Amino acid sequence: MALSESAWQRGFSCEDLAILIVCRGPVRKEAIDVFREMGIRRLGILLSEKDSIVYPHALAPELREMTPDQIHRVPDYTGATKTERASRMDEIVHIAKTHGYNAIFAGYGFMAEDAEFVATIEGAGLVFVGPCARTQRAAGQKDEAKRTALGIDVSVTPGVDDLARRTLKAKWPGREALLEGARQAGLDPSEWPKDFDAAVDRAIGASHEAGVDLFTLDELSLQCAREVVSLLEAHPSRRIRIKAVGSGGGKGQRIVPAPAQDDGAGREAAGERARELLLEVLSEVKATGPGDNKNVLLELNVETTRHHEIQLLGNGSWCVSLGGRDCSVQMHEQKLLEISITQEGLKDEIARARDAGRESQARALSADLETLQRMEAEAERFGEAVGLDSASTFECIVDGTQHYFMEMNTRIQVEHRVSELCYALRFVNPQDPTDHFDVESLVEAMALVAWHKDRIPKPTRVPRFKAAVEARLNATDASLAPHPGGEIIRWSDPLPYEVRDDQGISIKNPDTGQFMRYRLAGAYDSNIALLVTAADSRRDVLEQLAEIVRVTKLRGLDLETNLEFHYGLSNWMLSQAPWAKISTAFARPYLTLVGELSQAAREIDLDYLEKKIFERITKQMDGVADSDGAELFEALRKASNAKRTLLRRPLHALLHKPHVLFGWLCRHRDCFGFEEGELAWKKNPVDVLADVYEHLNWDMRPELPAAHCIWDHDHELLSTAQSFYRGLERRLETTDWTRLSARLADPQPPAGLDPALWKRCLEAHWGHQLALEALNVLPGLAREVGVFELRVGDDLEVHIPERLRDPVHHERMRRVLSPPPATQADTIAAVSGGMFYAREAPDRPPLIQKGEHFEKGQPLYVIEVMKMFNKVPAPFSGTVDQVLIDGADGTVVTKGQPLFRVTPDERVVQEDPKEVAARRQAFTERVMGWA
Amino acid sequence: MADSNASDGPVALERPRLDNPLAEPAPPPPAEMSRTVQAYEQTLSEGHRLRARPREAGGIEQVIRQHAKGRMTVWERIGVLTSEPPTVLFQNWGPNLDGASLVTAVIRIGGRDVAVYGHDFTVRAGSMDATNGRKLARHFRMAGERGMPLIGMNDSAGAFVPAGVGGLDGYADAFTALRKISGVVPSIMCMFGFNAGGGSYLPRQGSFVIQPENTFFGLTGPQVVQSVLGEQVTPDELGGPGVHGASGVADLTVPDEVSALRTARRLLSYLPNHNSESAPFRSTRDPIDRATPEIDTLLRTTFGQPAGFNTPFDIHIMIQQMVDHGDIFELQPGRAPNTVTCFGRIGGHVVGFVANNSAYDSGQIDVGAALKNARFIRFCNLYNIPLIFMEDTTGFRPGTEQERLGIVHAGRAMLDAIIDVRTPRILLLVRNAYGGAYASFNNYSTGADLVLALPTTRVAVMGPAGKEFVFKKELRALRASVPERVRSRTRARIEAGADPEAAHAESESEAQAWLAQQEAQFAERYERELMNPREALSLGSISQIVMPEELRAVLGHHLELMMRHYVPGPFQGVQREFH
Repeated sequence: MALSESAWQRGFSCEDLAILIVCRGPVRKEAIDVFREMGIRRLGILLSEKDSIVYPHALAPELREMTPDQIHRVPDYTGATKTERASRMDEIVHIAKTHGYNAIFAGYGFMAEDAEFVATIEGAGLVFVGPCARTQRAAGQKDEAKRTALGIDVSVTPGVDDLARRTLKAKWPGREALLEGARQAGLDPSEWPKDFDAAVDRAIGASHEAGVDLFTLDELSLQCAREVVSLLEAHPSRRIRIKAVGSGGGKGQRIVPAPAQDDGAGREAAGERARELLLEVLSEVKATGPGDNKNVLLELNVETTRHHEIQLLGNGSWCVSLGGRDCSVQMHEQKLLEISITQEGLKDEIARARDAGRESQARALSADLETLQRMEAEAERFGEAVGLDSASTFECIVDGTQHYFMEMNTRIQVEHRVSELCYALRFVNPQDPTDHFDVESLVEAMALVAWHKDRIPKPTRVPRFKAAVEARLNATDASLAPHPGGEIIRWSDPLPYEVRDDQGISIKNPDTGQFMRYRLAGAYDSNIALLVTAADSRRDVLEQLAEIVRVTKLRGLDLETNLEFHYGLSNWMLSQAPWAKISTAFARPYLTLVGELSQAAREIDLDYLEKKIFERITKQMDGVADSDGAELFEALRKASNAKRTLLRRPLHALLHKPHVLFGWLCRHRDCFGFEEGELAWKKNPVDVLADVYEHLNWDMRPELPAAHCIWDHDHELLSTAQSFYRGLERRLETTDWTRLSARLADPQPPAGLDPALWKRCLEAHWGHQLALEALNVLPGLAREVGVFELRVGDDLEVHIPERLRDPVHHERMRRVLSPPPATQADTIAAVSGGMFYAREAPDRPPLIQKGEHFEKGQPLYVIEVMKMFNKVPAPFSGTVDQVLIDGADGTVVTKGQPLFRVTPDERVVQEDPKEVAARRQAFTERVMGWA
Repeated sequence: MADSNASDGPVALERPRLDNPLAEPAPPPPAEMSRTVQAYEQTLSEGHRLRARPREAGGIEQVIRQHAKGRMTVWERIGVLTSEPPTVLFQNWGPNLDGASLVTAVIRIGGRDVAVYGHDFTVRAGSMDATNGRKLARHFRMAGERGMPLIGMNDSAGAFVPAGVGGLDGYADAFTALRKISGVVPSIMCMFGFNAGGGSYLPRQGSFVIQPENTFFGLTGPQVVQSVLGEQVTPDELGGPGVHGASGVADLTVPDEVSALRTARRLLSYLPNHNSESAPFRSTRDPIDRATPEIDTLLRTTFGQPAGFNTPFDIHIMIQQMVDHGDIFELQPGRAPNTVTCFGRIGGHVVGFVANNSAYDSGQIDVGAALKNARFIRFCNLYNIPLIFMEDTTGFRPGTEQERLGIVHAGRAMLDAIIDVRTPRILLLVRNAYGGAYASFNNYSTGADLVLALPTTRVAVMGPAGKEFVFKKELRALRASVPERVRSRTRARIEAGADPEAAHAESESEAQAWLAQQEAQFAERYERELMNPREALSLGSISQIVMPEELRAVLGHHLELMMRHYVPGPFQGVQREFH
């Protein structure tokens, strides 16, 4: 920008910005890169202790390419208490000022949405690269935000946003009563407005300032019950969400169950329940003290929802929407996949659907387009109303054709890349329309508006890609439960179209160029990286994502990630409908289905399968010309043996990777069918097998270790078979497998083909198809489990089979996907001799007591050895039935002495191996269709 | 599928085939087209056949068998170590001209010549006979003479039984040759497959053993154990990586073959080619004077815990902060985690770290830790690698268990190994350094070049229990005064009108509380006055105090200085009685 020929453009240079980055995670690395590219010379990062010292092999990887004068340190970003937080803010300001920074970028850290923090920075004369304190306040308080939204015709969920006010009005129904009550509470209402409603508002504000309450919790909860009853009268049998104004991050919210029956008694009961939940909500957000803001929102709970959000950028006077993102694929309230929704993309897709005659799909997409247009317009209005002067997200839930505004996230979110790949921002010189520049990075745009504020004209959005997607790579096991502590040893380089925001983990050792080990400490959350890619349609973008996940090699010790989950999911979406209307309730049934598949796959006995198939092969000897059985038998044995690893290795891998198997089945569901219960391949099984290898990323690549590709002899066999069939297809002029295989069943040579050659061809066909029956196990499993019953209708709605909705079944399948560690032990014994302590220090409570549950790895006791105090973690999870040490702290114990009697969560179940074998063999027969 | 009606039709099938009948036949080589085959051409093609023989000897069925076990062939393993073609030596040894089920070669790894050998399991299960034993011995001698490090890829069923005593002699030849190059060139042994007897001893003579999952090695296989002792045990329980990783018989355990080979390459980058040179220097972009404030934070956080200065912490974090880009390579992580032995670089120089780790068993030195340290120290000493010792231990571990295991001998082995060190060596006192552990852990008297101490150092003859000796008189007087105290207080209480029995009980408990408080004061005084670096500083046992933030800078500076004056060469001198 500073080098631009246009003086107008040069005026928007940001080189004088000196930015201190106060956040961690992927956005820190991204910000460093973006700011460097912008030519910002002074750039530093603020490390917190957790970044580097808590775990070995978990240094902030960015340090590898920064110089010591760019690195500053604080114990943590936020402090544990209110006073610590205030002093931390001052410390951060002090660090910025003494090291020559004039701006602070807080990314999406805890501080980024903290109006107080932002105000401190602004007050110190520093530039905050992010929404200003005013926006933070206006959008941060849920009740005020909702009122603002209502005022500018933004769609919000039906409900009550001013329970506190209503309580007060019910208590003192007129201005005089109110003033009298206020005086008794020690307030001075002499200056309060004449208007009753305005006076009520003033009363609430004054009570917060003075730290007194004008109503009791009991009065508040009574009002809550009344409001719930009247909401239920207007909207029968609905669930109602209770939300404290200070709620967030999953805290401070409860749902009132729908009344058992739709009558007065039912509604009353729901109201009573709401009273209890209200108290829980308030104590969860710590708003039960005098003068705390006790306002609570009551909203209809939207049941089948999709989670859409609109990316915004503003400068305080203008606000521009950069399209939407669908974030509905979620688990444990954590987003897993974010996919762009843009008007251009939807219009293209509608046109495609119309061309293909898929009318109901076109209608479903048109509904989404209208919703998106409404959301974008409302988002821009709301952004302007709250004076948005940076990047923010306008979050909505979408229910059918309705949408409701939930809240605005006043910060940059990790998934912003999805939007910046869809739209660039074009800034045009008002004096000269040919003089313009484009900004393709939101972080860059944030710096630009932070530095130049009102000077910068309203940009237009310029479409870049029609679709983009972001997959969150998390350290989670197959059931998507967190699995911290693993260590990454190698990670293949990104593909050309892959944007990998990995916090710098892939930055190689600058001295050796080698990948450096990285321990996934799990100090904050399980996120490792964001995998982003963009293309011209949603189908293409999902194909790219599936390809990225397929070829990514991520190896480590005790490392578990959701990479395979993403593979399965992207292939499911591709096989069903890329625009499927996935709801936030989708992930659990989906995982349950994969769990069912996993359970079935584990019951397959591959040894038995191999043995039986050979038996079946040798039975075919009867009809063959050669009377010398022994010779033929030997030939069959040899040919079967030659295929042993070719078949066994990929099948074994698929049966042990349920998400990959699921992805394969989705991807290949058109390759097979069942006719009268009989499996029929619509594609040559030889080619199906080649697909399996490709799917597993085992293609032959000489530069890789042999064990990481198809074995050389298997490759030779498979490519010989493939070239044989390609030659045959040319000769017989068909590529259709059904026709080809029918022709190959006919011993009569085709016209013009030498009978001797035809004989060799038939023998080759016999040989190449030999033992490939083993592949039938894959479609067999799909049928057994009912894999394709989770499907998307013509109207793009997802149909979830009833069995996949059962929470008990969910839990069972979760355990199948990720079996918890089991033990036979019923005691916890001392790991070493020494002095036993139940607590960390005399003034602390015991680490664990009778009746309490403990998780694996949780410290259970302290053992003192030679004056060193070692905390000892639980070897498995369970519940303490009895503490076996009766002495006081300091009791001497010997190694192996039982300390606690426990009931482990998971006991090793002993099964008779013979029974297991018989069961697995019978199951294998059934899946193969032999039974 | 074969068609069951095949016999009815015009073509009848004989047997399945796995070729492509439609493929264009390859044109014959021009030589054969133009002339009749002469004797010379015959010898040439025989030459080609002979050359190809070792690679094809096993046959495809054997290769598939090897692959079915998830194992690579020896040729594929070599391909993981290097992308350049190997220089194969003693190509056709053996009566069958197949290389005698053993491949010996020189390969290039990162510009260095490395001798490798690997059993070819597809040929007679990689077994040993007199021929390949001699072949191996010759290869070892060559590596020693040329100063090339050695990588072994062991995958052998043991001695070839039909070869009789010849097989045993073969092993003996190899044992002897490997012992003779031990200490001359470093060797890394990968354990693939199922190796018993000689197949275990031989690799363990090497410097480092790496074992992947799903492999076994040991004195004998489980069948022998079952028949001799009646013990039912799986190979994994008897000699899997879990067993050997914990005992130190395997220095490193890894998930699979590829990791084993890659780990071998990584380890090699820390080792010199031979004993007359230093380990590979690698200039670094990590500033040598980089401050290490994280170490300060680590200690602050640790000692801020309820247990104060008696809180364990993980020493890895400290080592990681000091080395170039935080990259360390740990050896024997699965054995005695109360001590850490690892390589790292500081300012580009390879350094061996020997560090007590208080995060496990208070960092006490037990038999496992002592032997682990001794072995690592000796290796560094022989191969010109400087050592940094980091001391934070409450001492050797006492008790019957340890005495029975021979802690005296093990501790002695560590002590002797330390005394023998002639490479540059530094001691960094981190916290606890008491008694015998201090005396034997690379202090000035045992030969350290430099002793540094963090301010948190607590050097003392004894740990906190030492107050009993230092304040012997005071404590005795204190305890002796208790009965009088009880008597006088009881009297006073009775005079004030209390019930005599209750008065006595009250006074008794009051006196005990008073005693505990007084004793605690002595303990506190002991910690304050004696558990610190002051006395050691005054005696010159510590050269200087070093602050946590400057650890890398100070160590790097001293190391640089020492390495400038160190001339690498073989470790020579009188052979001592013990290793």
